[in-house]
Amino acid sequence: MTIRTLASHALGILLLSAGCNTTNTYTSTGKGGYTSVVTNGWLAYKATVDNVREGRLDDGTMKVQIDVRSDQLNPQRFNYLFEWYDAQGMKIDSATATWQNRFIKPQETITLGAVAPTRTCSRWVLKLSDEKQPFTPNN
Amino acid sequence: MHRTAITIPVILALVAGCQNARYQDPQGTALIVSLNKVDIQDFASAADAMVNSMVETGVLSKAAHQPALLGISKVENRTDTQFDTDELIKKIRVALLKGGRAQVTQQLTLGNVKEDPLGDQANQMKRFQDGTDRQPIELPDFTLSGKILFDRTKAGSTRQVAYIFQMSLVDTSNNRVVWEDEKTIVKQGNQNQVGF
Repeated sequence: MTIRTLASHALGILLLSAGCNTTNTYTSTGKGGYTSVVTNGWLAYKATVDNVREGRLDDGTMKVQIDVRSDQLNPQRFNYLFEWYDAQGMKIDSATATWQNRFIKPQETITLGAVAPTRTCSRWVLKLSDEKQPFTPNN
Repeated sequence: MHRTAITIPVILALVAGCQNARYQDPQGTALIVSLNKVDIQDFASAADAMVNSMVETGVLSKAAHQPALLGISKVENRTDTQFDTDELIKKIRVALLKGGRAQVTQQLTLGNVKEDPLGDQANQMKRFQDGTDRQPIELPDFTLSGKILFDRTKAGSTRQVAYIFQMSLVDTSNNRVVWEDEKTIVKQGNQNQVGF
């Protein structure tokens, strides 16, 4: 086990035990780009957004694919959720929206994809959160 | 010293065992993950994958009716646990309806079982009163069918269960399967746990 691996484990345990499982949020600008609010450095180290591709289906429905990279040297898990908003900034609820758990290999880049629940959606928000914290059974 | 060493674990065990009931976000990450059943988050995840896949192919937007008219066919639960398949199908229906992509018809149902018998009777009476009861009824553009299968295995004390959700859409104008997809959810561990 390298010093880097040990250091990353120690940092992770320290952050988790301190109750720092905050959510990292990536928001589309509506022009193909995105802005990010990263409040959880440990999580960003194992799941950070690398690239975003937006497109439209034939009926005008928005779809998005987001490349997420892990800089970790060990396999990791994280949770993610897509939220959708219309042009007025109103949130569009989806009947099937739920937090999903995802596995990522060391140094791997995976793609998360979603299709907007309605044709009126024009903006997406991707929320990433760490998997269940130790020591807090109801977090 | 010796008394403290015994007392602290006992107090911790009591505190851990005395959790009061509380509400949880049904979309959240604090739900129970079970190794012996399909959890609500599994149904939501499978429904999400199916709706995304179905919408992405664009088959519904090419239907004669807009929104497309959908008939619900056979959806089988072939797992070892009992649940209502509406836990999956209703989510798919709601997502398609709210997204303006499909509506479910009551005119033609499996075994002629009407979900809303009063609605069906009212429709028949209206058609009679309007004199349109001899006109052909509106048939669905597509029928939706599916199966939920499972696979259970074990290695030492680690248990694994896989739930396989399979769905198909048949175009009623030519009886062809125009969309199909499969989503597998695998859960592994020694026991059920709170949160993921």
